[in-house]
Amino acid sequence: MLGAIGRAHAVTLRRNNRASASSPGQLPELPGALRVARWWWVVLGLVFAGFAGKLLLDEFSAQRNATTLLFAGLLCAAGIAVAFLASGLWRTDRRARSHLTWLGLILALPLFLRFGRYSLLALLVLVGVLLLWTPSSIKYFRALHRR
Amino acid sequence: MPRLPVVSDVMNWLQNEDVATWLGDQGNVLWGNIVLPVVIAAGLYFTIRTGAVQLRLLPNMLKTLTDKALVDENGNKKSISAFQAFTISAASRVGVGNIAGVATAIAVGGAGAVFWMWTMAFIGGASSFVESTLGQLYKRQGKDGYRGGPAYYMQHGLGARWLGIIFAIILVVTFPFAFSSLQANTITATITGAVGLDATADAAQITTLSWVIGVALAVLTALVVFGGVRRIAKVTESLVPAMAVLYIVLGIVVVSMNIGQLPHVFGMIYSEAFNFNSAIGGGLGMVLLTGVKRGMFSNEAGLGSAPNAGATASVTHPVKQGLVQTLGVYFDTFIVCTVTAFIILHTVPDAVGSEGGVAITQLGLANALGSWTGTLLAVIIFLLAFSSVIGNYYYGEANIGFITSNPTVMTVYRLLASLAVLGGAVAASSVVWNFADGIMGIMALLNLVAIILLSPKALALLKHYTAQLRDGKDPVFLASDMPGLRGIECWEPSDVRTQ
Repeated sequence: MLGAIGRAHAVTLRRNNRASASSPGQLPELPGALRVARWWWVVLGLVFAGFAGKLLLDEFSAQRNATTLLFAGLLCAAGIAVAFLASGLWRTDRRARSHLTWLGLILALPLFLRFGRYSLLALLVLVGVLLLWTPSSIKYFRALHRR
Repeated sequence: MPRLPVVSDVMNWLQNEDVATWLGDQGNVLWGNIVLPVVIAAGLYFTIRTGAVQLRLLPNMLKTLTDKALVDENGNKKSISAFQAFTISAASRVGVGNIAGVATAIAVGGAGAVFWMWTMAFIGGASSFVESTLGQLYKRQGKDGYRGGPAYYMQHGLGARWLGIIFAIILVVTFPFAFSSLQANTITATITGAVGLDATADAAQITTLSWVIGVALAVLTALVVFGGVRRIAKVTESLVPAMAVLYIVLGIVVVSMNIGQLPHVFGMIYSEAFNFNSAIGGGLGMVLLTGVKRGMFSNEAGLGSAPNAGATASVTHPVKQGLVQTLGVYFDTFIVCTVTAFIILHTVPDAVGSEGGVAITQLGLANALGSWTGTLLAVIIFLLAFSSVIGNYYYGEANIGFITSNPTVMTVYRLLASLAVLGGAVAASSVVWNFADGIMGIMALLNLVAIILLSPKALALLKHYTAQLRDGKDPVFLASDMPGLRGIECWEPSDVRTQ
């Protein structure tokens, strides 16, 4: 069975080599999913920052709790990071998709697991990740990689 | 909005004491019945067959550290020198196992566990010698230097690529997933300990803090492994030797302050190694098992990880790297682990039977030097543990590269390796430690069987090395010296050119 995996891998490599050799180097038009994803991630960055700001305001008007302040700081940092990486999608940075994917998953998991009331935000993040991995987006980034 | 059921299940699983107990029971059955006998038998076999190489060639281990780096035809350095290889492997070995692992060993197995850690470091030194010598012998020339390890000697030495693939998969589960989770778990425990949160009164705050630390660690890891910010890894790795030295100095200060107790501490270690301490459940078998498990987690002798790093070094004879890695085992256990053991045994009289791994070391340092050491220890552990997380990732990457070069597989691996850090930070420490112990046993078993089968080659190389030593030469090995050897790619004259 493992030999079969090795052979299948060799076939995949040959197919990839052929594909890259025959690529015309022409970048296709930006797909609709990615047009949406660009705006989606910018808005998400603002939403993260907004939640952080609200938490900080609540904390300063009530008794200060170190861990809540830390959480607010994390949301704020997440907002800045998401907005910065989202700008990579506008600049057609090839690494923007992988960076937004890992950041999205790392942020979404705790929001689901620990901070239940932020589950909607986590869902929005996951939708943002999915938009980066639709068939049309995959095709677009593959073309981008070949350039 | 309620949590998703599947996600809640994962959360419960990671923090469930029943799961921890089940994992611990399975691990004890595996270790007690199979792994422990094989580890001891293999170590003793290698010790006898090599004529106690780990003791006999101790002066040569030190001398090998002064060897110059090898050069290519243009006079440029081919790879890292023997001393650099030693410092890199020592830095990657020194980590959570030396600080939290030793504390756990004393808590579970008593002072006697330290004796068994020392004994296994000595016996395991021979296993480490054989595995690292074989790692060098079967190394391959890659784009950026040499690469090798157990998966390579299983494929090229035993002719069993399938076994190499199984080993590579287990290594990926063990190092970047299980061990990195453990490193993250210990970082979290150390930071929560350092900020002074009470485990019962501040439970909710500790949980939130664990998630925040987990996310931060996962993001730092992802930044490095996805290739964005290699500088983080470089800075961390450059600080690790200094942190290890700082920790040793702290230990020496604590021992010096309590120098009068030193004979008593030695007495405890030796007497409890053979006499049952009533505070420990499970008797002598538990003391032995705990000492061996924690020792192997720390020094990695016979585990099959060191050959991955050792194979990247460029030396004139495979035996030289075997000797350097054996010295690494000694440094890790006889110096760094002993420092932790002495800190605890000098300053925490009720450590045996208590709960909490790294917290015991924190308490020991605080008792001796003051509470400020909590923050210092948190910084030391963060740097040691994070460098181990990055090192574990590279072990995994090298072994995934052995199986496939598919970029999608590598991307998924990077993502999972980052998420493992997050999971480890928030999981119950008993779940993480027990899972890591079990999977480490399986990995060691596969590697030890492979090196036992390949040991005639390592023994022949040792004979070749000592014969040249006797003639007063600096030993050099060429593939043509042993024409019967199969599967060797390197070891041509160009591979052993000196400055």
